[in-house]
Amino acid sequence: MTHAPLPLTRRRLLTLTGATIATASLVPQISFAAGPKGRPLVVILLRGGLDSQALFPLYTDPNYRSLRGPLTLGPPGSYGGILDLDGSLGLHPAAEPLLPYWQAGNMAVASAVASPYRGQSHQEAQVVLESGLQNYEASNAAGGWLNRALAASGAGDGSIRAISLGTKIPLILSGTAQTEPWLPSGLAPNRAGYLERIATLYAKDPILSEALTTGIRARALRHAMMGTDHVAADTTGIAAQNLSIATELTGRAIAAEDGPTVAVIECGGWDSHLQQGGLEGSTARALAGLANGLTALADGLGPVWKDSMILAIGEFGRSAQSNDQGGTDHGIGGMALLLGGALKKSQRLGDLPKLKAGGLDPTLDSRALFKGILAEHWGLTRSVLDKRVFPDSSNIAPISGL
Amino acid sequence: MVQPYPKQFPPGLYEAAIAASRFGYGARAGELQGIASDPKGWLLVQLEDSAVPADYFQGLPKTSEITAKLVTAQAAGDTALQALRRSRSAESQGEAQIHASYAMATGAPFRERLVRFWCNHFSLSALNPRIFPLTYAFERDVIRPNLRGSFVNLLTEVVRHPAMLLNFENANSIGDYSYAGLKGAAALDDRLAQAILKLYTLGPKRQPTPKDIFSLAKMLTGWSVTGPEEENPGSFIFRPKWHEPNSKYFLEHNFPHAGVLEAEAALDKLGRKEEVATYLATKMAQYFITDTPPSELISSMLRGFTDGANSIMGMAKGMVMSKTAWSPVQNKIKTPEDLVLSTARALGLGGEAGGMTLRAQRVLGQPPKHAPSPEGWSVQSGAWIAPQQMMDRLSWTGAIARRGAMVMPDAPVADTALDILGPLLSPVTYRRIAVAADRGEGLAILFASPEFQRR
Repeated sequence: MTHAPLPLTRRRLLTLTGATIATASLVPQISFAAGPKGRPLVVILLRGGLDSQALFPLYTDPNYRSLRGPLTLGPPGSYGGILDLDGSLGLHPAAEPLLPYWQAGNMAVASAVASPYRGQSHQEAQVVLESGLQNYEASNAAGGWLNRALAASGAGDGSIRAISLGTKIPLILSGTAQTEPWLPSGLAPNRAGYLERIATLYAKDPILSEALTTGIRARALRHAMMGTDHVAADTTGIAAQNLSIATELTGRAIAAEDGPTVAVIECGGWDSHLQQGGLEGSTARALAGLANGLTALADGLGPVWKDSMILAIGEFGRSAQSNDQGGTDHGIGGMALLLGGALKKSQRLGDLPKLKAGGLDPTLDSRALFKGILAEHWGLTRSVLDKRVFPDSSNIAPISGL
Repeated sequence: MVQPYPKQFPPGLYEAAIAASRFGYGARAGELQGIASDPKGWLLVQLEDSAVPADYFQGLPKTSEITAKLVTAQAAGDTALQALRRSRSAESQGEAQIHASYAMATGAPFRERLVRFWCNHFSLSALNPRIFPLTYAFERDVIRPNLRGSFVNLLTEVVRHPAMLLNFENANSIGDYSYAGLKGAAALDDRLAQAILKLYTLGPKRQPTPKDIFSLAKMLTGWSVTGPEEENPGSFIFRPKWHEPNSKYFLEHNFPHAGVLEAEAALDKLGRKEEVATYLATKMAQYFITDTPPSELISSMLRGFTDGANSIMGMAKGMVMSKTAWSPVQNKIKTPEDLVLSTARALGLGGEAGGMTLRAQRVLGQPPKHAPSPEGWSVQSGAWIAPQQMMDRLSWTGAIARRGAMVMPDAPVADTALDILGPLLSPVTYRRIAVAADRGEGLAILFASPEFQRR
């Protein structure tokens, strides 16, 4: 990298910014045959269960304000208010960088998607979501739907690369098809005890020292109060704050000549039981991180953006109402977000749920969503999807029109 | 092979390190040696040239192009305004990116920080739906071109700008006894007058009298913005029929009825007050040097301000000429913005890193042009180091250090650290970097160190 000032013309700018959108018209059009070859798919697993009503508030719902309480965002047109997408679906202002993608027809949003799992455990919910099966008991050893999709499409022999960021392969990508963990040195986490070692550097700086040691203690206390299931959800994968550093590099890797076509990224920290805040606060910062991560991925994908699809989804949704600690508890229907140049248009997926106390009733089965993606993006047939990728699921029809 | 910590440094290197770190966005490797020959001169020369870049912002929209669309959408109602927000979103992101890139690419980082200081002083936030598309155009068309003039001139240009008149809804302010007011349309709005007195001139510590606020608000009646049905929609217009007649008593001074000239005269009177200069100097000193500026520093800045006839750059010059400016104590903790930009520079990055810096500022709680209130971002160090903010900033520096290690040249990180911080780098931190487990960790220690977190 150099630091020579770039001649940033307006045209160049548009290719640099959120608007890889604009690159579609600047790069030669190549169309790929059906199947995963050259049709990138990135899945971002939001560990902990993202609060769909924070990111995409259904602000016209009559119960929105009363249920959300301190988490309520102002209506569009107010100071720091919700950004409107289509008259009923809103966007958190912290995620404003996503707005151009919606506008350009490159974004789809489900407000209440759910796997068949109905329990409270993060780990069990993740297993069911990623296995693509009907229930937890059947799911454990079955491997993941994305792996089966690779195998079923003939790419399971390693003819395309499928990577998972980190040192382990999460369930969604485990199975017989060839996959690899991927951890370039630039994305490796700092060694355990990083913050504690920094604290010793502040021995002669009482102000920085006080701030850091208090922060470390508060985190330890928070984790001590949570069960192990929750701690895992809070700490697995990359923190949303730094997601863009990882996704930008992942996008570039995919765009490279011999790069991977499929990538799975785990992003932790979404289990917002406490003090999640509204316009500002921990959830707003995490949502900014997610929007950063998605737009950086789009930027990194660059020339292959127009053939790419990105799915971001968590293991379950959250309660629509705020709890008495200013957070939200586990719910059922949650958010799924699709982004990509390969999408035909921007749209809502599934019916709008009604906001009510407790979890949102699902309006879309996660398998219908996954099937729709695999059918539209990779051209997998209905019978392959019903029998091999999602066994015994012929009653679940893929969504169409993505 | 890591060299031992130097026994002594070449003359001027200490001042060079202070100039780069305290007044700019920190040094890139190799930059300090060039500054060391004349650190003061390196800063002062940056005050001479225009803050309007020759070509970097070319093709970005002018205020008038944006306001025309904005007032039309506003008149049409909320739905049209939301549609404008969506249709303009790519362009908004693009502007943010170009401005961020420029801050990385510029060879005059001190001047750039002054631009940001004044943008923050007259803070406009895109969180306000009345002016959301105008924040960057306001910087380009008002702040940057007027930094080489007097404060009074800048203040007047700021207040006349449609973004400011819309931001505080002065565009609809009508005097009680004006022609329109007597017909029943009166709606005096004193929010702009309050902002001018409490935020832009006297400062929060000197409460203006209610009478002064009221008088200034009356003088500003009729300062408005043309609507969609008028000629040149979205431009400044003085509406005599909305203007409160009769003389006004403001700052213990009688202002005879004079239409649009009244508020101009009032701003002139106000902008020249000594206590205003003191407030501005204090805030600027807090932004750059210390939360508690000593009187030596403030008097030097006031001298520069007065010598230059109320000059903004004169105040900055007075700051550079003060003794306190070069104190070896690093009093200030960097804001997220300054931390992010100096980290990117330390990694040797330039304009291409604009997007990265923008993203980092969003997650560290200081997204450009999105201050949560008209007061702008705090210039006090304490506002930025709550425990969670500290955890967040170290999490980010830790991650960007690892990523950065992939693109940094192969030199030992300890040497690079010395190159960037010069004598500000303590022997202790130097050793900790030298014995770090790998290059990523070495950079993480550098970016987390008090010498780098402070300025």
